[in-house]
Amino acid sequence: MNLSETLSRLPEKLRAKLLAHPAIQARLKEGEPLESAVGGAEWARRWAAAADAASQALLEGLIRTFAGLPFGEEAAEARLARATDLTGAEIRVGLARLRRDGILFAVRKAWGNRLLYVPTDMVGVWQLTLCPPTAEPLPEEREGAVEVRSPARLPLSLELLQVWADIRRRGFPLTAKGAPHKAHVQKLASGMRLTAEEIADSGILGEGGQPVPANVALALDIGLCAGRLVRDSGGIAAKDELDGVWADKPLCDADAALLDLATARYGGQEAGLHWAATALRGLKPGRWYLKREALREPGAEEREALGKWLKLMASFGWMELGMYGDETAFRWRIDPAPQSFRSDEPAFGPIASEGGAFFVQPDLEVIVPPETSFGARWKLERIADRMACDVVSIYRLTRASCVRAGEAGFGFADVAAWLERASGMPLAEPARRTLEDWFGRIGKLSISDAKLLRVENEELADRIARDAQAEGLLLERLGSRAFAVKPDGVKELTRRLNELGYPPAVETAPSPSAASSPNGSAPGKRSKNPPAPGTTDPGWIRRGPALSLYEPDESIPGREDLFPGLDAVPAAWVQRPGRYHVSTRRELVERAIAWRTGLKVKQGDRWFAFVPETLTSDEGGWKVAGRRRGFEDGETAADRALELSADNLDELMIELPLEPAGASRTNR
Amino acid sequence: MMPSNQSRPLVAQSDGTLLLSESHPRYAEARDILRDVAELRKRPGEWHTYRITPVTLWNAAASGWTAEEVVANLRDLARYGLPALLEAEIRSLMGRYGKLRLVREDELVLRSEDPGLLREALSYPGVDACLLGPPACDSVPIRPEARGWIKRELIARGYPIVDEAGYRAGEALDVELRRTTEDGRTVALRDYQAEAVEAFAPAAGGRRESGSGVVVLPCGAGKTWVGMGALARLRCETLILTPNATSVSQWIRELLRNTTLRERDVGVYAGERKEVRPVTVATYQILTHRQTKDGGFPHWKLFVDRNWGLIIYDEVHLLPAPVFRMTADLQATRRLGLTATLVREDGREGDVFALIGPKRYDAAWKSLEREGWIAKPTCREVRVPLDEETAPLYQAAPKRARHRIAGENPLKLDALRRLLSLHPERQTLIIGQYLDQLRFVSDRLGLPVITGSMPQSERERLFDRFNRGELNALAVSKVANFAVDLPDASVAIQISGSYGSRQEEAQRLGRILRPKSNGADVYFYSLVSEGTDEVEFARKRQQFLLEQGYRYEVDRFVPEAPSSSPTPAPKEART
Repeated sequence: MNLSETLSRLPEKLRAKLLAHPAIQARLKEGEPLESAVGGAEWARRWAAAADAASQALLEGLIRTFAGLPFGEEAAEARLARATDLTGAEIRVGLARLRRDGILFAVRKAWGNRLLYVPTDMVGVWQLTLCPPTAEPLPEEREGAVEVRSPARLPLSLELLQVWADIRRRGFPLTAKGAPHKAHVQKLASGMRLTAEEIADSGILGEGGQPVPANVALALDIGLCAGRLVRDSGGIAAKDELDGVWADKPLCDADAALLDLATARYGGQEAGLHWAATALRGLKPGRWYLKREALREPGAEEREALGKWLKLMASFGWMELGMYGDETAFRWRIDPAPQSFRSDEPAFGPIASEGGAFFVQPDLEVIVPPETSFGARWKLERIADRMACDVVSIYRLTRASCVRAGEAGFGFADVAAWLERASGMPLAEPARRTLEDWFGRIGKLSISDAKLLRVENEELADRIARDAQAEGLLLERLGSRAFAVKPDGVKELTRRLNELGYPPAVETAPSPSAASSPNGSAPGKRSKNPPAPGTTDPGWIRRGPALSLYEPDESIPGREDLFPGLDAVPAAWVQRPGRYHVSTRRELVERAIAWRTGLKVKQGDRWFAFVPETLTSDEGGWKVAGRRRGFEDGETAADRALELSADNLDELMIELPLEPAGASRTNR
Repeated sequence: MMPSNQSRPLVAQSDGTLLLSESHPRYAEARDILRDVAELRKRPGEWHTYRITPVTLWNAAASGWTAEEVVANLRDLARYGLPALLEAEIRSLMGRYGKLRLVREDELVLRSEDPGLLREALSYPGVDACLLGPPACDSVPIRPEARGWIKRELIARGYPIVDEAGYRAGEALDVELRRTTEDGRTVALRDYQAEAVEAFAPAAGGRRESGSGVVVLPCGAGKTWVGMGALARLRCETLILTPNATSVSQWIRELLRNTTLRERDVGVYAGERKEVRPVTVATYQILTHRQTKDGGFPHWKLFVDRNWGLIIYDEVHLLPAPVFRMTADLQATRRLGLTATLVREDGREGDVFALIGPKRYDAAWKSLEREGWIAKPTCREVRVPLDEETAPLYQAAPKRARHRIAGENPLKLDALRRLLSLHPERQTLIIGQYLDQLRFVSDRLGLPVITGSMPQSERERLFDRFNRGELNALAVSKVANFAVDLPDASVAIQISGSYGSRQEEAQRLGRILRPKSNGADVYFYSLVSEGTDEVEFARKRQQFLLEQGYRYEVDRFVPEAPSSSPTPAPKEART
């Protein structure tokens, strides 16, 4: 779930808490709405500057371990305690703090389990803020030595445009079982340069079992998620109207939005993949980097994820891969930075200095430069035939394409005016004349469905024609004894004719859907009872239930929730070190283990922090195993393992992390 | 997407398509480069479309370009960068040029500095039959008769062979261009014609492989002059091949008028005349004639009847496939191809490159027009309504019959009259598809008509009368589409055409493109029946010229008389 969706569902109590948060309040006073007050790079920078190291380490750990996937508190505690130096208590307290700071949010399942999550669009922002990339590009003078190895690809936006435009033109009907027409799907798949194998190899769509080739599945999935495609009763349809980056922004903005979506949706299925994907987004566009240097201290899983993602980005036409000597190198062909990290410098990519205008040639070829918006291309797909899609796209207005345009409701004046507006030039005379000729014969005839009202005699027909109410429901009189009835007026007309004392006999025809479905199940059955909006994943690919299915959780755990029984223990145990009887020492240790927190211990004349993990009794007493906190030079985790007997604990106290943000990490 | 640079004029696509912006300040610089490395496909408006193909790259390599230079120049011009795929293609294709060379040592030898490439090339089926002996590491002897075959087969597979085996001199012929014609006109090649001759056969001898190749000049720019210039430069017995008998006569007339050749030196090999003389002009048709479908070609012997030093192929884009086969056997003879376009409808540009030779010279239509070497036409489509009698006939006719009914629209006669009255002093060609219609027009307007059934001598008599100004207008069928030289025709009125043939439209326009002595503009009219399929066919026919940068205006003809009493159409027109 992204930040905007999260905030829109935020319970009032939590919203009030957020609004009262001093750092957020400061942002709100600067005129930022809540969404940008707790979103974007600037907020992340400010938070990180004020946060203590443990909070930063916790958030980095969460991002690295879970990315935008939901997780339970116990799982977080278990995994992060292994991966970091934090105690379970510090993690629990830290999680609560992150929730209060508007970084982490939670939902509650029906049976009470709480799931935490970082909004998907903020995961990358936090990663790039807390862990900015350190890789340096190859010096410009050495870039010539890179040999490009990746295949030539269109930016993903153009691949999708072709598929979506085809769906708009031909539809994408699904059978009762949700399967599309094989021949149509194969045609779509073979028309894409992005191959099904590339997508399948990347694993981003999960294990096979798709009724369509993976490249088409991807186009459907993105289309449905981005709102460009919608499910309807018979299958999938393309939405004609455009908004946001799909309307009049340069094409590179559409690709930037697609990169956001791809990172969150496909990279986000696997935290390692998301981590690698996001790290790459911190690099400069157009510059070559070595793969080896792309990630900071990557583990094996992250290295593998990096390789997979680089290949995918090259397949999407957003990146080029090459060899620099024996090493793999790569460079972005688009600006990969999340929106809030973009600088004020001119955007990377084709400069829309001419407003993204395309050129209409006198022979009705339309030359579309890369900077032309998705929206303009979407319209061209409607009125012209695509001849080439490469560095520039080339369309041609033909008689057949004008017929299609006419069917879609465009007339000569619309097309000519739009072409002139979008190209910034008057149409050349031969082009104008040809269009005028073609459109001159389009739209003169139409075939439409209408109900027929037959009347026994002319006199009655005249009477009906004179009736003001009935007349409003009729399309036109077809002769002396027949009328075409407005399709949506049949019911009302029947009522009116009844009132006039002439109840009509209604002839019924077999329903087309019944005729085409001998087994009685209509195409698109799956969407007959559509689920409530937002409660299922919108995409083509089956994913788990959307987080929005669950109720937002409004309870942020307090100290008593985090440390059950705290009120029952003597205050001194958690406030200052003391000497205790051996049995009391044991109680303190047991309590610390239960709370998964640390102890401050004095052994001889040395104080140190100790995290107890297991307590065992033996004949003479008991001993506790755990780890000493804090690394010293050259130490490994094994070096810090420690076993202490009761006699080794001269003085001790339980260390509980403090809650307020910005305060020291513990009560030491 | 890489950053763009609007200050560059070119867009390079991965498939080798190049789009050049005409209004860009660097247009001329880019155009000059593209003329060498690519071929112009069309120039309908602001953006001109060129295409890089293997043949254009080998043509460029043949004229001295290296892959590095091509890449560097295109990079410098390309607004959105040079696609990696295209760059790799350029390097790969140009890298092969010059790696395989046919040389004359004791025998004909195919030699390569790249043994791997030679092995690769020789591995194709059928190539071994061309070998005279076993291949060595870097060379292999070739059968002399396989010289053309191996060049054609290997180029088709992407391995161009540079032919440095040289040519036979041919029988010497004492010939030169006259200083003046008998009627006192100065004989001199125009600058671009002289450049074309120099590029084909350099005076200083040039490189070993020069002496064969193609010269590309627009219709009306005087390709015949380049042929005569080459003949005078090489001074050897020459065989000239042309598309039709009319063109044969015109070649002979020009040769006799402008060179020192006498009638006894020049022979016609077409129709009934089979003269083989030091300079012989023949048609492709006679060479490819045979008694039966599977029989031999009896006139092929013409190629070996004399010791030709040069063969000129006029309108090389029309060269029929059998002539390619013959040409493959004539690789020791110099060959000059003349054409207005290297683009062949059958896609055999590679055969032209391998068997005739690389492009040696190319001049753009519009620049010659600007310089006044070809006339500037005004192209106008005149839409003529169907009369009341023909309209229902057209509507009721089956689709295949409609084109003719629209083409023979009787009201076109009225429109034709009006157009003729607009240009009373000009020499006008009336060109039509249907003989009935042409005869009808001829009958009503009192004009002579030339058709394919008319004896050649009669045709030439009428063309001569037209050229002398004794006839102001002439109706012609499609026999006049090609290679007919009517220098003073300045108005062409097309009354019907064959469906959507783009080439026909261009050829018909070509009939009037010779620059006029008084510098007058020329007019090309096309009569089209309004509201019929002919409008769409006309649009297709005009496509080529539109793509070459010409513009059509559209007028509507309004009949003066009530349309209920149109000029009666001939009965045969209804058939």
